[in-house]
Amino acid sequence: MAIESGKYAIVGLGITKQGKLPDYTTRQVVAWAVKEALDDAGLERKDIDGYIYGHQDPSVVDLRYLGLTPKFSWYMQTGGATASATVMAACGAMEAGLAETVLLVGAHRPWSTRAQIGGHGYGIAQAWGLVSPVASHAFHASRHMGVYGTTPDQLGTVAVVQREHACKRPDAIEYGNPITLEDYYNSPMICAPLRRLDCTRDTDGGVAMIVTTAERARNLKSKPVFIRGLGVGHNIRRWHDKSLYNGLDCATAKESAFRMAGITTADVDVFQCYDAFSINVIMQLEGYGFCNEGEGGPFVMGGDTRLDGRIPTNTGGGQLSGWYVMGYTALSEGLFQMRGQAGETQVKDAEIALVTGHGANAGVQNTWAHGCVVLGK
Amino acid sequence: MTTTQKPDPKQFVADELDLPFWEGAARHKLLIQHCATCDRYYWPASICMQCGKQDLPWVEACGKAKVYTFTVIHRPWLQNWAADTPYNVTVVELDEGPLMFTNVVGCGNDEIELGMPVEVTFTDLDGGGTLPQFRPATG
Ligand SMILES: [Zn+2]
Repeated sequence: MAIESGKYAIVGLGITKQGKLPDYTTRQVVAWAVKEALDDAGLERKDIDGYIYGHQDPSVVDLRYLGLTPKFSWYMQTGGATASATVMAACGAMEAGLAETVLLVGAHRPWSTRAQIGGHGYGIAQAWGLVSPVASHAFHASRHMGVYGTTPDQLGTVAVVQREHACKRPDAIEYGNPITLEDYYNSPMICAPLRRLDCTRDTDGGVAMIVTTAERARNLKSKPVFIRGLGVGHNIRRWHDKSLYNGLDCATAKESAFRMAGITTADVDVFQCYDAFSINVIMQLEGYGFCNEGEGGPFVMGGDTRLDGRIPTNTGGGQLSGWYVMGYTALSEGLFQMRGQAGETQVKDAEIALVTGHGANAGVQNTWAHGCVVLGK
Repeated sequence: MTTTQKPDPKQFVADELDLPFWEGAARHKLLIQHCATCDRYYWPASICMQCGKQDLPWVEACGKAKVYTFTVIHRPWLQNWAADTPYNVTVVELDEGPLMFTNVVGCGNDEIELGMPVEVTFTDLDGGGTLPQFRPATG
């Protein structure tokens, strides 16, 4: 049985400086995000009774250093689906009566530590030289182009539109740096058909947020954003029917999340989808029904993901032009939109935000975990 | 595609379950798993999705396939592949059904396209091991 829509809420959002943080350790970045989130919510450290660190590195889990004394401390990682998975874990823990104020943290410093996302090995396929999520997503892009006729212009337009959004948001890394399709074509090929401007970068930074009961949330300092729907899907299903390169398992996630929220695609006002690569946006516009299968490219080309389009998408610039923290980018922007704090890219009267993430292979490349969270006012 | 520097592919297997594939490759045989009960084929080592049978026998595939999707990697992330860069990594759909990672050799990267018929060819590596790759089908 699904959790009741709106029973839990996200309060307190803490975001560190994003980009390059060579003078900080990762523990300091975590502490920075935690302090911001607590201050934002008006909560104290002793109020936190659950802690979830969204990363795979247990050495950074240091409750002593953070001054926290929760009843549980978990670390979990499922790539770009990590942010939504930690929200689900927090809701599950609260639903089980184990906690009522759960702190979620995502933080890493890949730029400063020179952890090359590009160089991540991929098991058996590395025998043929396959490394990096860029190459895996290039499999999606090639397939999408071959099957549906998606074009490089359409991929490039995803990057251009999100850069337009970033140029209106001073906290985006690419603020003040607009691009054109010509710039897109001048950016180097990384894994064809994906160019540099089709890809996010490895940036340093941290995000923290607090999940609590709606009742408690209403009495706190920050404007609560309610968790309306939760959904998960997994692309292993599409490995078996050999459609995994065409898209993600949005369908399964959408079914449960929209049922819990009592909404349809038409009710979604802003879409914050996990965009480590441009093709992801196209696949998810299709997967969540904003357009038909195979029509994501023309949809973007037609301006429908712009602020005045049918579904304003990745309004903070996304990961392509903003910053990257394991799916917390999209979740943070969803919260900003629901709080009315999205600055110049605030979508007027937005009531429902759909946030997604995917990542972590499960036995074979492109068998991503996928998760979504429906946020509401 | 030069192959002299490639590491022995066996170093990338998670455990011994996929070793028969690489031992077969060394004998220039493309081996995949077969469930005789359901007449379904699998790669890499798998349980049968239909009947749940484990430890399926390895049988020789016909070696014919079609390009399913591909990428051309332009970055020398892997030292052993630097001399080949840009090189393609391709997913092919074997005639028996399974999808398989490989490289397409014997044509330019810009000649690869979805649906292109290809056939297996075995490349013995100087450092040990054999890489099953595919080339444009001849007949
Ligand atoms: Zn069977």
